[in-house]
Amino acid sequence: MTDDDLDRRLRAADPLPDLPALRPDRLDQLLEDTVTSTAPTSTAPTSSTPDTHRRPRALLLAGAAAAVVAVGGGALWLTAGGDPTVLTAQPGGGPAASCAALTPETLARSDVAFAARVTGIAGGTVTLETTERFAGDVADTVEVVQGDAGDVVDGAPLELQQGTTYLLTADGGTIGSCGGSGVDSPELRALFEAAFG
Amino acid sequence: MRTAPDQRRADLERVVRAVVEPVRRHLHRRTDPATADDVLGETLLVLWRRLDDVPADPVPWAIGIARLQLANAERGRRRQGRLALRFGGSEPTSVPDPTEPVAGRLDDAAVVRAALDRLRPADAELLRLATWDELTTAQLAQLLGITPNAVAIRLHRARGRLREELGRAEPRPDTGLRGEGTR
Repeated sequence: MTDDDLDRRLRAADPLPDLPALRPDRLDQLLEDTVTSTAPTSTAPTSSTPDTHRRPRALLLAGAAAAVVAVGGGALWLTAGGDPTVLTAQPGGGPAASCAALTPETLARSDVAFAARVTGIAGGTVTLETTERFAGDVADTVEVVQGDAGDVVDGAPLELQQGTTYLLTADGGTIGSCGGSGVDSPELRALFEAAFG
Repeated sequence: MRTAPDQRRADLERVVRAVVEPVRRHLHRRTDPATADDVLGETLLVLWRRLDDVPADPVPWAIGIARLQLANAERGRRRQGRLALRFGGSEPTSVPDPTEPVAGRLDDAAVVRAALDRLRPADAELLRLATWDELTTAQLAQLLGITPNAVAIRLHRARGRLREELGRAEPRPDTGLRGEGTR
């Protein structure tokens, strides 16, 4: 069986070969919802960029659920006394293709920025102790749960190691894979301080 | 002349028109329609917030966002399922699987899907992304953050493994290829 034959069989196995296109009015509505749901609100605190005021709908929907930031195949749980924040994941955009150069301006768009030290690794869960807060609400303890590696083919997961301190950002509930998070280093710290200082 | 917000909205619209159908198809292949719609909304919100970061080819980028949003939605649902079990003692409602063969029909498509399900998840997903989502090698490289060469190698290996699975399946195509625990 050649690659072409195999691909043909795979395409024929597509469970959804002919999904009807979105109706134009539905698309307009989606665009409208997107734009209005992230407009600045009067109750939001001041911030360097207006579109970071509002959290995405996922955060509101999740309510009392736990916090998740997928870092590649992992998930960060920011637990704060039973009232955690939900964060979502950013795909591995790839170093070459889609990552803009990391600047204080791009970093400043993050909703959450903090430093944390890994205090425990057990059963696929990494526990971190927050040591510094640069932006957003971050609990004293952060847990990273190694989640569905299968869901994420690749990405650029952070390798979290016992005793190491990391600088971490999440933008709109999303930890980026474009260098906005990493081991606490003078270079990254300088960017954090320029962005959030 | 357009004001800045108008320009931003126009930029969003341009990006959304380019990505909305590929993203919708990606999602509807992998989850139920309600979740697909929710995750599409979440994905557009991320596009809107990160409009300045949209790369030249926005499709793999948007699909990358969508698949992680979907992974989070699924995780949330599993958490809810676990809570329901813990407090209510009842089984969580299972979500219909759009890839389930209709009325047990075991045609070649079902055989191929079953073989895909037996591969390592990363291999299966790579093949789905390449053939169902029709992403090119360059787009896969962008999505996965690896070189096109590495994509080609992984695809080659994944195809080889799928061939092996299909070879294993074909002598006995009538033995419940999608039984419990295959996903």
